[in-house]
Amino acid sequence: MSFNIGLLLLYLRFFRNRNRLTSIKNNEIKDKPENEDRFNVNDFFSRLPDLCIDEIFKRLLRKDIFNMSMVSSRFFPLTNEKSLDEIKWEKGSLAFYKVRFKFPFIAIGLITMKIAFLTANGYHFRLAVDRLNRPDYDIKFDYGILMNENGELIEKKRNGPFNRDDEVDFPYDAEFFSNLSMMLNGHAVNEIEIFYPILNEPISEQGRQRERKGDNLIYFNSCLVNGDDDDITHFFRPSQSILPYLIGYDELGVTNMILDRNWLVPLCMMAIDSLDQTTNKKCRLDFVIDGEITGDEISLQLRPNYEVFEKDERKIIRYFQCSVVNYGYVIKRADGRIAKIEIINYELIQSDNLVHGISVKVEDRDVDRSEDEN
Amino acid sequence: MVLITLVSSDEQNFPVERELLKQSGTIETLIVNMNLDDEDTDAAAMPIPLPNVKGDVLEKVIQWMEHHKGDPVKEGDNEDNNAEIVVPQWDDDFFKPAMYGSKHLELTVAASYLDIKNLLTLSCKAISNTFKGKTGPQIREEWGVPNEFTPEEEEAIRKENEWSE
Repeated sequence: MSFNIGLLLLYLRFFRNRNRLTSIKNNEIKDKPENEDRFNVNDFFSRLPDLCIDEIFKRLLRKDIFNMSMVSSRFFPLTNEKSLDEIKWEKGSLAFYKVRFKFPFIAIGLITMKIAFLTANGYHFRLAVDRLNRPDYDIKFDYGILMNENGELIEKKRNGPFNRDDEVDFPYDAEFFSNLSMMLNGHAVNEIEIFYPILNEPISEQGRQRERKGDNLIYFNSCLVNGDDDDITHFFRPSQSILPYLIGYDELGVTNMILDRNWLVPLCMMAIDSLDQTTNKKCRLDFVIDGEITGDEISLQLRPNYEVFEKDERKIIRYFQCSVVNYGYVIKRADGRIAKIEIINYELIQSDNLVHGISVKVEDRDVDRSEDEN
Repeated sequence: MVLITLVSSDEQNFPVERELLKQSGTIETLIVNMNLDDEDTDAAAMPIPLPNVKGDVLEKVIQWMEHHKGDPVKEGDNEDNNAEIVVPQWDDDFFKPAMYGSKHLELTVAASYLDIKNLLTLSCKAISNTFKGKTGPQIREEWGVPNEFTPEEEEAIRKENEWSE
């Protein structure tokens, strides 16, 4: 990703130039009579204020915005304004994928615009860049991250059909995520979903078809209720290094990711702390843990300024072929910020596994102890 | 008919019909807040100084407003699909003579400063139309923008944009 460093340098230069431009402008106006070029810039277009250039760029087509970024170091950062994202990423499927089989595993026909990727461990992520809700959605270009034979990550961005002959492997775990954030290259990501894990197994023809139809989101609850779909049993267990990547989102649904039950408390505390950096002051995390956790175990893991309350009522809810037990805890930070943990024990029909569906809701409000305890 | 006097940065006076000025958010706010459109107020005695707009530019702005007198004024953010806005023939002819020069750009800056939404939209659209289908170096040449990139930087951006081709 050496060219990313080049881009970073460009941004730095832009800010330096901008300061210089302002100081020149002020001196010019004070010291010299007003001439044709009041900004000491020798071309007309560069004299426009950023606001006007932004107005002009908003009226360009996608390809022209990319062309404008080549014009000057002043325009380059302006073409990366967030307000242009909708035009730049319009009608595109941005897919991070590995090409392991003859057919690359890609997300086609999504109504939402997402970056989807699948690791060699079988984690399939989709990162929403933006939402487009239009029926005439079609694929104009794709964006892929692949690993070449030297083990380096490369970006592939192209139009039209995918090259089916690329056989490459995919990076793993923490390194993968840090590379991913670099590759996102500042593009806004407002949602992350991890779905459809494959666990190193070949993708079935059925699975591929499902992807192509865009019917590709499998939520835990629907899996449980339907019960007869083979794919749903493929839960996956990431390493602990995934934890930092799960926070910072307003809503995260990873209902087929199994986390170690001992990671639940650190994750909740991280989620509570992360609210300091967000404006929404609310977040929700759905995932699964591998065993039951008690109030005592939670309180042992808490840092000194946190405490835990247990909801004493255990509700038994009956779904189609099984019953689930619903209970919960509330973790409270000293300043009143809380994480409500709702735990639902699901018994999987296909196997004898008992997994614990977790829904963590973090809020920025004072906990009403009596209400939560009842 | 109430006439309001606008004064440009080079101190030229432009008496303008009050009705026309409804198109300019900046001036309209001022008029309403200062009660300048009241028949009893001596509006002529209270000219509005526009230190950011030169006389020749202001003249063009007034000319444009006269032609668009009575057009509906857009409220709030522009929700139109920007790519589909068509610049009417009259406006195209109005902008064209000065297109690659400072006059048109000063007109755009004035439209932004005076908050004349329709003029800003059309003027920006007219400028953006000149970029259509042109490469970075072509645009640079047409508008006389100096090339500040090092060859390495240019190559980095070209790589970044490769996929949009």
